[in-house]
Amino acid sequence: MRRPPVGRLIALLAVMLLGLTGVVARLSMLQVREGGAYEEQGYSQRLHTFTLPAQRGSILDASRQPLALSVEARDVYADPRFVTDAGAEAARIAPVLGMRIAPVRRALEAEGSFVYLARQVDLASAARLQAIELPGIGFLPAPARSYPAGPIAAHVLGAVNIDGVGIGGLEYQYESTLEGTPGELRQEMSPGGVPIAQGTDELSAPVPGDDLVTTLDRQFQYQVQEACEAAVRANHAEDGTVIVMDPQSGDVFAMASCPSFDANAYAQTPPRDRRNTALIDAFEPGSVNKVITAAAAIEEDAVSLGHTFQVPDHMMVSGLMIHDSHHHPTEAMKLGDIIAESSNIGTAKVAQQLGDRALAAYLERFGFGRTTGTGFPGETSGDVPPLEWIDATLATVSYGQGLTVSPMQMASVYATIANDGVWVEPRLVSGVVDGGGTFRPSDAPATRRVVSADTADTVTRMLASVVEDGTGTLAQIRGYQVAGKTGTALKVDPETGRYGRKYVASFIGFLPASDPQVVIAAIIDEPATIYGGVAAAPLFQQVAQYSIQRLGITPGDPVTLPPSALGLR
Amino acid sequence: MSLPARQVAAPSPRPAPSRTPAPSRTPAPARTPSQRPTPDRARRAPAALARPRVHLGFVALSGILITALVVGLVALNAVLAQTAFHMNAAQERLSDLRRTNVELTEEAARRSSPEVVATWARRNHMVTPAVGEVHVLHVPGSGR
Repeated sequence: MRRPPVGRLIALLAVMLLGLTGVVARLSMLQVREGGAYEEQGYSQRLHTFTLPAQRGSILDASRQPLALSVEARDVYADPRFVTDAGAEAARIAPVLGMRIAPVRRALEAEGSFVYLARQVDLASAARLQAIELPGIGFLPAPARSYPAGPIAAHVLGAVNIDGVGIGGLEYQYESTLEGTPGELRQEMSPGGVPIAQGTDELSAPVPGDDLVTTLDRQFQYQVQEACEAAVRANHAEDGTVIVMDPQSGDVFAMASCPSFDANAYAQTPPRDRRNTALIDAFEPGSVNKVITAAAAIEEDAVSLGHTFQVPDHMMVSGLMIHDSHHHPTEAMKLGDIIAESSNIGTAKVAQQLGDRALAAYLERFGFGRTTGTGFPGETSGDVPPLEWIDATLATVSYGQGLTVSPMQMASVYATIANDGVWVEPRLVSGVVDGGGTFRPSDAPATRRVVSADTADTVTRMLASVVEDGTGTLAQIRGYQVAGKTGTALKVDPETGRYGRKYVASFIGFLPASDPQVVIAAIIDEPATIYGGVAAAPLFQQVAQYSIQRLGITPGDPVTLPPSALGLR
Repeated sequence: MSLPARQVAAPSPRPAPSRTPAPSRTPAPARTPSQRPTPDRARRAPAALARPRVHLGFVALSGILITALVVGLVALNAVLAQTAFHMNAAQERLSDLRRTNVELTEEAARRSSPEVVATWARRNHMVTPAVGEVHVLHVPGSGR
């Protein structure tokens, strides 16, 4: 009988013991020393965090009718790994989504595990597609922005991008108010995507955004836009701008840029047509600016209402020939006549008595050279030439050439006169409605006195004479005394950098003259008939008629007109 | 498992070890001397009669308790599951109603939009009066 190989057995045992010791040591390291790290790693692999989008707040008009709101929709995606027959699936998907087959097929054949087929699909279409039960097709909740009033106030509202973030207008300006706070769901899930029963399951609910209440009146806005579009068509003009505002509160009732566009088709609209011309565009105001020269001259006692000027139809200033809009012999004119007849030469003479520093100071006090405070994205501050001015600059600035302003800045000037000389910051938003339905009004608008109430009253009388028997007779409204001013401004040709042959026609005014309730600015860009009194005054008149009906404005007592040397009165 | 000490009150003919299960709740025979068992019966009783009676009672009581517990737990679980189901259904309904509310709000806003109303009016041969043809009548104190 052979002896057992004791030595080898002992060696084998030793090797086995060594191996086991190694295994135990490694296990100890994994379980004890590095156990915490592996546990953490495993937990992080199981833990999934989902962001829950917050409901975006609505934008409402003054009577709380929605101008913009978010509706539920679906993003449709595909996981191409599970698509069995891309061609057949694409042929079934494309008609439901209103797409062509080729791009859908390309998406289904793409590399990777996720590709969007369509975003913000309406629920009905998504449900139809879901009913087909195609492999590899999934749906994600995604809110879509809807503008139920279509083109109404489209230039003011702006838009959101595909991810629901504001990219223009009020949507962009009030992004932090509207967006809300996204929620979060943290769930421990198995590799198959099934929530683990006893695992982490924490929900932090999203907080919806606040609703924005604008000062715009949906019905009024529509009427104003319609009138503006009609005026642009009738005058064969490029575009038009109308602002209707309350001179006391600064609330903007309507703000129209025409031609308009459907807010639901923002992305398909050329950027040029999406501009809110009332705030973004700067133009040379022309004769509507004479109201500042007149107000400054009266406030500074540079000119009295009874003072008579000898006014020719042209004048050489610093080597620049300036002239009135029509030929006339040298005439005796009082300040009221100069404004009523819109004489450039007369206004330049008034400005010479006032001086450049005083005029520049009043331009600044009326808000030129800075934004109006609406905070609207892209709002222009306009441009006023820096002092010292040569005589030609003083002359041209006095009648509104050689400086630029936005229509809103110009409307604010007239609102200041209408508000007894107190400038009020214009506003488009009156407050917000929070998730609990509580209305929180916006801060009171900033105000500042620009001219005395007496000066404002005197200027109002002059503006009333413009409509009564001056250049603005087409703005008259039966039974109401309207105060306003025409403007006909030459435009600079962007190619040559010099004045060309195109004009901006405008009429800005308020009514009733004795107790102004509404300020209206009507501006027509490049009309066939260049004069503000012809192209823009009828638009003002029409919008004023709507204002009377919509706002219930009563006629008020008439104001006395200023003295005339032309025998106008 | 032993019963509480207060239930181990009846005297026993011979001292039982402390771990012996307590006698049943039958009235203690020691109070009526005439019914007191003879020493022989007394010696046999714990072995032949008392032990099975104690075990049966214990088993029955435990059975009832366990059954009641199980039934209670199942019932509670069922109620919880049902409540969760109702809550889930209610949340889904709330979600549906919210969605419907938004959809209807949007639909109402779209249909009441001035442009839609104006288009409808034109289609029905209504016309907007020309400027100046509208005469506004003012009642004192009603205007702005």
